[in-house]
Amino acid sequence: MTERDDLLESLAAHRGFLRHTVSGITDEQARQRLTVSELTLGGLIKHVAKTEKGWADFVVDGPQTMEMTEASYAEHADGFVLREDETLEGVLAEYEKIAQRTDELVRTVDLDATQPLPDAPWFPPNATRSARRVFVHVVAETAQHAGHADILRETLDGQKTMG
Amino acid sequence: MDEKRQILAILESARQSLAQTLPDVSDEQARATPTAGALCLGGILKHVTYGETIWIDFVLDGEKVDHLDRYAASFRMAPHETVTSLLDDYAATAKRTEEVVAALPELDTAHRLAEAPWYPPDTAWSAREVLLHILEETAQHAGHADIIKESLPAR
Repeated sequence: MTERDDLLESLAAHRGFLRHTVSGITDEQARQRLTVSELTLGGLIKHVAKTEKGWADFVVDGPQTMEMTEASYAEHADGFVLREDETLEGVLAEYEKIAQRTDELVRTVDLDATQPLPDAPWFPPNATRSARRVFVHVVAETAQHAGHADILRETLDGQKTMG
Repeated sequence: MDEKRQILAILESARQSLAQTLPDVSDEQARATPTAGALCLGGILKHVTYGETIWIDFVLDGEKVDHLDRYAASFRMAPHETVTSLLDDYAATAKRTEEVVAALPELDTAHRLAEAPWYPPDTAWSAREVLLHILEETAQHAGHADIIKESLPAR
């Protein structure tokens, strides 16, 4: 397997784990708060999809895609909530489209090409990120949120993902 | 930064994300299972430490030995174990991984996985695949730890 195949496989596996946590649930269940945490299953799918898209945009267009404004802060908060005018089916379809585009980038871009990170308190100053590092980061981010979703789903009806 | 350093950097942030759920909890809280599942914070840390150890053994020896008893025991804190001892073990395991990976000439060398019902037949994994796998396990379990930590009764 090539490095690109490995990245594609890791991304697919963890998107799959995350999707598995919402299989067969209703929109209402996807909006339900299940633990002390404010996270919901539908909100997690939306957030992970949006984050993946943000990083894919960064690989193509650089740091201006990540600039934080008042509007983007509001959008970030909204990203964790499956709104009444949204459906789980809708956000899963959107996630699938985003995934296809990321996968195309993983197949084609120079993995060593770097972009500067935007100036933000949560990034080190003057740091750059290679496409490779961005894609591996998306794997880690997806896996961690899939971990959140595992516990939420297990709380909902006992369905388990990992052993 | 080369590929190895990039993957190790992300693995280290995932480790920190997991480990930071522990230092301010008591040994008793680390054993508690406050969610619907059977996992506790100490058990997660111990399990991830165990997984990282045996996967790095695989990179070194070309052989992965699944100790089913150790695997099962890895989810629970033994009576003599403490949050501090588990965090120390985890730090030592991380240091070893960094050293082993730094010394690898490249990440492409693959070893066959033993035949087991949980792997596809005839599968070989490169060091890259192993590192990605350790990262994924660490990140996913860090997600479990986040919710378990948040679910602990008021401290």
